[in-house]
Amino acid sequence: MLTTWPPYAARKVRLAKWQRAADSGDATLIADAIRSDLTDASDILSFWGCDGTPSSTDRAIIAIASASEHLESTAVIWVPAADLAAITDGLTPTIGRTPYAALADSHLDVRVAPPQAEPIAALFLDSMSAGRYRHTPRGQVTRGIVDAVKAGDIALNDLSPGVQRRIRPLLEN
Amino acid sequence: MTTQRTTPPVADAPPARPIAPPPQAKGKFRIPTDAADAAPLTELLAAAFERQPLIDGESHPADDIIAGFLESDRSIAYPSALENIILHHQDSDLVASTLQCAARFEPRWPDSRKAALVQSGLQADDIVIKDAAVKAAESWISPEVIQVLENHHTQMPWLQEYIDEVIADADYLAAIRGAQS
Repeated sequence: MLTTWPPYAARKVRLAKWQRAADSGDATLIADAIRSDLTDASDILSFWGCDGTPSSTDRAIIAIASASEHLESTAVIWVPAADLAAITDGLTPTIGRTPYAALADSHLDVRVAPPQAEPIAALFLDSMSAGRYRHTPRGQVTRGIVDAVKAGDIALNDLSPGVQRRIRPLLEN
Repeated sequence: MTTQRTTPPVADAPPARPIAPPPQAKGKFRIPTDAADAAPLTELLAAAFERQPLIDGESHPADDIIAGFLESDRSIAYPSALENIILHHQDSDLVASTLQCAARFEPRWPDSRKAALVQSGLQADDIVIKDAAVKAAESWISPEVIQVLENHHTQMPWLQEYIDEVIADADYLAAIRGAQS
């Protein structure tokens, strides 16, 4: 697990919702983005440590996408970890839920009380403005998972059944 | 959040057929199967997305509703109740989420009808619908869909880059599409 805080913490988002919120500044649309991406019944949000470089954010995306049930384009926004820690109840290094074992230990749990969602959303909107987001289409997501399976970084059987079904024929190429 | 949207023509859509036989039941819900019966399907999907927002890559209760609809929809009447929501409903988030979920499946509609749904989504004002349309294009990639993408241009850099990447990666996406059928 992480022993020091990474510079940034990345989280999967529906990028279009944050773009819509950032463009309009409309409170309703910001609340919608919060409900979509910053709300969890457990009040614990999943983040992935990264340094903001394309290779580190790509690793976060593959860690996330390989745990998915459907192969779809995947987007993340990353925010400064220290800023996130300052406005929440803390960042806790944990083993992330991903079949990509080598990436699992770059995961962070962030405990968020409901009133903290708006300040976190402000961090996300700042990151949108600063270009700290990455959107990876379905083809690239799939290639990343296929390459990881071929390299032995992900066991095929650890992928969801639906993803396995789509990946298996591609492994033969 | 509502958006006025236009419906693109569907060149080779089959003519509308008479109302389908009584819909089949799935669980305790009746799954509507044609446009005339769109309201119950709309209500089911709206309630499902209201309870739980759709998250990229993650299963959603609406998947089962749409799977049940597609399984019971033996007619190819155009537009089906599902297409009717995507083409005409005024709630942007319902349209976007329904389109993204529908694209997780392979409806028996011809590719031209799927391309029409992609085109309709791209023509929406709301970027959330446009994004869902490109996601659908990735799943339903075909020459018709590629043509729709090539004819669309947007001012949003990441979305235009997304569209360009889908066009450039069409062969690989077709291989993925082939693997799911």
